[in-house]
Amino acid sequence: MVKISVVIPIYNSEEYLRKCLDSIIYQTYENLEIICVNDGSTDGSAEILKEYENKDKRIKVYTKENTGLSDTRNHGLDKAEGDYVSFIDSDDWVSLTLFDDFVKILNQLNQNIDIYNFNAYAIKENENKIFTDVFFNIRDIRNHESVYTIHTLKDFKRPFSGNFGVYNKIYGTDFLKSNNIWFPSRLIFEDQAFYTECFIKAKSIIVNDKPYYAYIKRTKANIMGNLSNKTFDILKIIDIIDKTIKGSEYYEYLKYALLQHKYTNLSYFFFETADEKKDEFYGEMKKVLLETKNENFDENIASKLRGYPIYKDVLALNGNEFFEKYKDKIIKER
Amino acid sequence: MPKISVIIPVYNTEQYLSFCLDSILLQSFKDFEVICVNDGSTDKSEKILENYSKFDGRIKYINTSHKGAGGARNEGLKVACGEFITFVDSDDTISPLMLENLYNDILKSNADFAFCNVLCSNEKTGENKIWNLGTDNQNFQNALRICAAKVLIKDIYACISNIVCAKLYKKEFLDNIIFDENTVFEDIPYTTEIYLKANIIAYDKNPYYIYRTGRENSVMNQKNEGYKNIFKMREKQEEIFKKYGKYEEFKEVLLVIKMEDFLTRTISANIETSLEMFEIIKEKFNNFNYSEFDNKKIEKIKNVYAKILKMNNEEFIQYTKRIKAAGVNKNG
Repeated sequence: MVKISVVIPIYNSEEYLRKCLDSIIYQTYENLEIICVNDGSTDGSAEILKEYENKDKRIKVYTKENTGLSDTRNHGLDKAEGDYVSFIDSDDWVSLTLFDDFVKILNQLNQNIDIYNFNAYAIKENENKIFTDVFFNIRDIRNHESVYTIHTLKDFKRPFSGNFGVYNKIYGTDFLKSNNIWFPSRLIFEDQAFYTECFIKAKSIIVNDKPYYAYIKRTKANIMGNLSNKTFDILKIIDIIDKTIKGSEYYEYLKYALLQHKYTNLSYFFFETADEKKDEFYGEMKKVLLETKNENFDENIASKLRGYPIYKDVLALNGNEFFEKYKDKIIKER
Repeated sequence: MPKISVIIPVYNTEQYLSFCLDSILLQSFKDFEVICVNDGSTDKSEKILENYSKFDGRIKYINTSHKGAGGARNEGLKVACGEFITFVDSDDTISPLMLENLYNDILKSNADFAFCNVLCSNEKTGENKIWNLGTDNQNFQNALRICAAKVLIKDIYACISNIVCAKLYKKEFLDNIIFDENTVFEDIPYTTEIYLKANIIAYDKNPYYIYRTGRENSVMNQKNEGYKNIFKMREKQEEIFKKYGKYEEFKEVLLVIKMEDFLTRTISANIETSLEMFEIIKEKFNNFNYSEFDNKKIEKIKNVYAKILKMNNEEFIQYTKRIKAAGVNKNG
């Protein structure tokens, strides 16, 4: 019988942790190992975890020093012994038939798969208004006949758009470990790197457009904390993504999407960077984009990319000029 | 006491039930109780209900012997303690603002119930279409139009799009209205009565209720015995109009709807049931006295029946095949 490891990283999650854990322990599919990794929380999370550990034998709690989300998930992944592994954020909750429906599909397919990509609701909760949008539309996937259709990255029409979430996928544990896919330690935006490595290496991806996950965008501070001091991580993440793609069979296929990903992310986070660091960030950003000149892009194709003028302007302008030109546009677009 | 009771009859919907319940847990309006009535399911539905009730204390479930959706809803009504009631079918979902907005609609208008439009989502084709419950005409073009039931009755087709879901009712208003049990089409007499009884109705044109169609095993797709209930239910509809003293005013409309629906259902049923229903139609209409009806208003369907009543079984089967091929199936 298929065993699923559920890895839950926890950092000061006392407000929502019970609901998250309840949505796992009350899954209709029961063959789970529930790996909770406490990333050095300073609130009541530890007490709640102890309570649940006593309540349900499937729960194992590990505590570590606070070193961030990537290390915490890696810690859980390292301990995972199930056939498949799922990562759930501690302030979200999942539909109670998530794993049951997944196993049913596996049994029908009668083969192992590398990644199961299901849909999620993105919920914005502020001033008591709720908006729910699903993460993706099945029409964004080519050749999709049913949830049993085996896909690879080439079937995703916009491989670099909106599907980075770590939590709306279930991964083959062996697939991750044998390909040495881990979360980049001490970096945020880790989901982009993880997603890229997974989808580049995956030989079999199945897609279910039904939503099983409630991803709640909270307005209060979360694991990411104050972003303005950490934006430099995006440079490292982009470097990882760049190397991963260039070292794969997908480079030609993803060349333009990768370029677009670089300039949109870098320009966005330039504006998120603390003012006193903006110049330094811009310098680094410009270096990265200057390097792309070696890739021989076809101007006819590249110029059709959304936001392409931004790329051109980074190459041509200095930090202040770029800031003045785009300061009102970029934030709106996001 | 919760403000709203959400009543959900559940019968063998393990494939869809969790999405239904998730959509209620995602409501912006949080003061509700959910009463799931397990109508004798033989699949994993009960296990799902059990786990959801542990997950969130607002979700409760009771078991009943199999009675059909009507009977199950009646059981739910018996134990519901909310001030307002809404019904959701266990294979459908509702969008996150439905309860809040219909609740506000009722409060603002002091309505007996509020209703909204429905989004039909085809499971097989992925197509989405708004089913606007017959409210095409001018009176319903504005969102949140507060209507007196009298105005509404002038637009009777709105009340003939029978769906007990996509509505929020004051519990007090529903008081003695219950569902017919062990039948299908139980929503016909139920919606008829609520429209005739109401003084004020609020209409919200947003499609908050998402109705799943194209399901393989839905009760409505079993083209069998159940279809014969259409006779009883349409006749009950007429009785309700009589009860509220509205029959004379609407008798032609009711006759046309009745005759059209009898025929439509008969055509959609499987061959065996279709012929049984054809017998019943012949019994009821061979010597039907049309004299009390304004001929102009019923001419079309009357002529169709005149043609059909002359057919033998063979001919009738051919006729139904032709109709099916032409894709004419209004109520399907």
